[in-house]
Amino acid sequence: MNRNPFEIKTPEQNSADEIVSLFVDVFTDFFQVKETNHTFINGPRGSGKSMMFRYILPDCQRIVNKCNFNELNFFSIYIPIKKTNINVVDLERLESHANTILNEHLLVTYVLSISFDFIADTVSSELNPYTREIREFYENDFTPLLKSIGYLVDKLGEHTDGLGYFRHMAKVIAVMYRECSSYCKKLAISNDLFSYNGALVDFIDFLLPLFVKLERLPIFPEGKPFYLLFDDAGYLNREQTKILNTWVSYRTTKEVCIKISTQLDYSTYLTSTGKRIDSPHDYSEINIATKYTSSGEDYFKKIKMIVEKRLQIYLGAEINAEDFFPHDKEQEERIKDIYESILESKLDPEKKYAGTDAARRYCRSEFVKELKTKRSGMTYSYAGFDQLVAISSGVIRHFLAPAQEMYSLLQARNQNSTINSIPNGIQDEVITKYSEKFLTDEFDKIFLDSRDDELQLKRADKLKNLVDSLGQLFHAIFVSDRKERVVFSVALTDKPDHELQDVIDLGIKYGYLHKSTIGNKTGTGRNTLYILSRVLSPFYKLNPLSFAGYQFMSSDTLKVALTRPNDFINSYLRKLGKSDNEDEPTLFD
Amino acid sequence: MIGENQNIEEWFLEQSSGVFPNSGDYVSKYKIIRDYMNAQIHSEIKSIVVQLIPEIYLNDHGEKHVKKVIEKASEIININESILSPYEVFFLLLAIQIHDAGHIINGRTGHEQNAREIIGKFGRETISSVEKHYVSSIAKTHSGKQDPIGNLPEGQVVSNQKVNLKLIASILRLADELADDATRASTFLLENEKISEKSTIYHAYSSCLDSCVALTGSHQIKMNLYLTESHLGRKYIAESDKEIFLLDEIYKRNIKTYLECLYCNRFLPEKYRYTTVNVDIHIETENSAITPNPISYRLMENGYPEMANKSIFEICSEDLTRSGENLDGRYYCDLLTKN
Repeated sequence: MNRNPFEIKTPEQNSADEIVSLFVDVFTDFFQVKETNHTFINGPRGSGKSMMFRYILPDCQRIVNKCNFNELNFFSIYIPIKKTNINVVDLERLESHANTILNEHLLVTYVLSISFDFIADTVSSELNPYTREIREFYENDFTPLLKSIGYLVDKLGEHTDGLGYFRHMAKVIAVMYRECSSYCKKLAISNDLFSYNGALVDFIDFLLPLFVKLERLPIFPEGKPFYLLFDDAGYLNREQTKILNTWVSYRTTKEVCIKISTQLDYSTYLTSTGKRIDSPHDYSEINIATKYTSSGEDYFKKIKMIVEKRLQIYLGAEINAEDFFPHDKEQEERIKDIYESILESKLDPEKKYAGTDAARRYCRSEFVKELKTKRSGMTYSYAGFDQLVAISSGVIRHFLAPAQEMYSLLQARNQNSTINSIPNGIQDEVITKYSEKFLTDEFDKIFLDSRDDELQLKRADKLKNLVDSLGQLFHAIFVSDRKERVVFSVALTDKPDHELQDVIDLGIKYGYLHKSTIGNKTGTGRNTLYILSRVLSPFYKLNPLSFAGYQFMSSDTLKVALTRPNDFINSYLRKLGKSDNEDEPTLFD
Repeated sequence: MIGENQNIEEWFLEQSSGVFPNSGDYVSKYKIIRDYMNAQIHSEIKSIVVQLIPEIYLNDHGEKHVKKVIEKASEIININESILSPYEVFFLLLAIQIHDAGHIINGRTGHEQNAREIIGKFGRETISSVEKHYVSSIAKTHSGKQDPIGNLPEGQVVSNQKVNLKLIASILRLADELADDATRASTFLLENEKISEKSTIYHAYSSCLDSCVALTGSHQIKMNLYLTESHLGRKYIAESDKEIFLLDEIYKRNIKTYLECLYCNRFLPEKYRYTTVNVDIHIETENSAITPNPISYRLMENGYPEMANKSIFEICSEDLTRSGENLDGRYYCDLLTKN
């Protein structure tokens, strides 16, 4: 049986060869990731941040550039924050004792022990030809730097090779990390505030000088920086976040360049020195969701390339993505008929595009209305590559995860037969379930995450109401007789209060909403636009395709949806029966 | 101000244990470190630097200088106005004790950084790791132009007591700047030309600086210098082996003092900000043709602030230049044309 071409493995689980063969170059869209700047890469879970990081790691870059490690343009080191236990509750106690320095020590030792191990894993036995130079680094740089903070380490035996030195240095630093970590844990359960007596290190006097000296080893590219890739930095506590920002505020990109990925949950841009870091002065910034929701065509092309590449590698087949994920033919034919009839009825020699415009805008809406009227039990099908891409809402995982399930389901049903396409029935079945799961399962997780935090629990409740209200409102608009029926966004005409903003931010963090801006009605400024994730289209029976209009709304109006969703929807349902020129009309993107 | 403000070290030594974290005996802790520094470190700095860099003969960086810095810190703030807690004064005094001690490790090079190694020698019973870290962090900000004080963390709490690192560091830095008077010079050696050529100018400057006083009430630094005709008539070797008149060196150093005031003002409470440097340079001569005498001037912010006639490319050189080229209209115009 063939491997599932849409199988999702975490980037760490893939070999460098697999990553290089699967990776579709996104750096034309996100060139900043490879540049020698500090960079923030923001995007919801599954939007490809970790994959980008995995691709720029030295083992992949060596294959891509067909060169040795020391010929690369930079040497990246992967620092996963998710797996760290540095953000322990025990650290709260530090607020009354040396919060910054102890947190910085934990962060520095965490980064360094990971770095030494990472280098040992990645460069491995290729370190051994440079044993002499590595020993010199250990004895002349590493050991004296530790001695300067009162930490003494042993000389290693003559039989230790280069790899052994790196493993040993990782251990030494890991011990320093553990000493401080256990102190914090003891502090948490003690009534007394006792002193920490271990060595303490920081970025400027310890981490940076070590990397500067490390770069001189012939295994690393000469005169090129180390890139420290902090994956999922939103998991850092607030003090650690401030410390990381302080590192970003230092102009060290020639030696150490910091790349930070977040799931739009970064807690602060303040530094521990009380200053703030700003883009583009201190760092460059990428927002994957914004980029791909505002440039649908780029995203469509990327997904097409990913799909066709995977089909080629795993199935050995040259198949168009559109052929592999065909539409529901019957549905598309009927929609085409409706399109033609609207075109004919709206034909106006004076207005050249009026007919095609109306036909394009209304054909799917009219089709859904027709299904409702006929009560045939038939529902709108979300099959078809373009619909699946649109539904994935700029998040690659929202395409791959259902595609993987579709393929598995088909494999299970058609044992041993070759798969050249996914029948539209399976596509629709899986994507509809996926949409529902996205709403229910994710909310279950949010509620679980918030169970100890009453405020967050209330916020999650309000978010559920908000998403539900918007989904139902947009469906009502879709099947109405309004001029613009494909609406996916709310354009706020004023600044939301804290209560509403917190709920919206939570929605953005979990990927239910995306943020953008548009020019306001008077052309004198910009309004913030909140776009409902198209992953929810099948659940709320919305049309994920084509241009989308947006509903202008005041914050007060939207706020009703947080606690009284029925009142919110009913007030709009009443308006939908009236003319389009209501006080809060829809407009085109 | 001398005669008015209480000496901060004397004030500190009067404090009872109850005011310190966990009722610790911080007075004894300080005395242990101070006495060790006096006996083992301060007295050796000069000879170690001569050994390491024979062409340099430092002006005083020892016990006398440390006392002078404490005296100047006591002028800058009135400790009886509760500007610092006893625990914060512990940090200040220790930072003063070790600020120049790093010379003993590697001479002048990186002496600010090496101070950490000195304080690291004391055991946990005397000073904790966290306290050591903060003391050395404060001490190393006494020189350098990369905003060292601004880069210290804010809002620090150690053992349940607030510690304002930036304020402490700014007091140390300004006190060190003002502590450069005649007591620091090796006058006998200077008069007998026994000081290396490259170090003479530093001793000459210190020997001429009769007084340098912080006047809290009027927010002024008052400097009095006395020059002889022989000072005026010769050039000295300065940095990069350039020859310079002592008077020009004095001007340069006065500007530095003024800039240090402006820098430290950012971190000092309004009452203790020093906005003016008043200088009188007296020339000891019978010759009435040498005028004006004294040379009197005042360095202060005047009128609308100026960026010292610098272009935006000089002020923001990191952001507004690429490979030595200014990011000006021409630069972008050329970029457009090329692309």
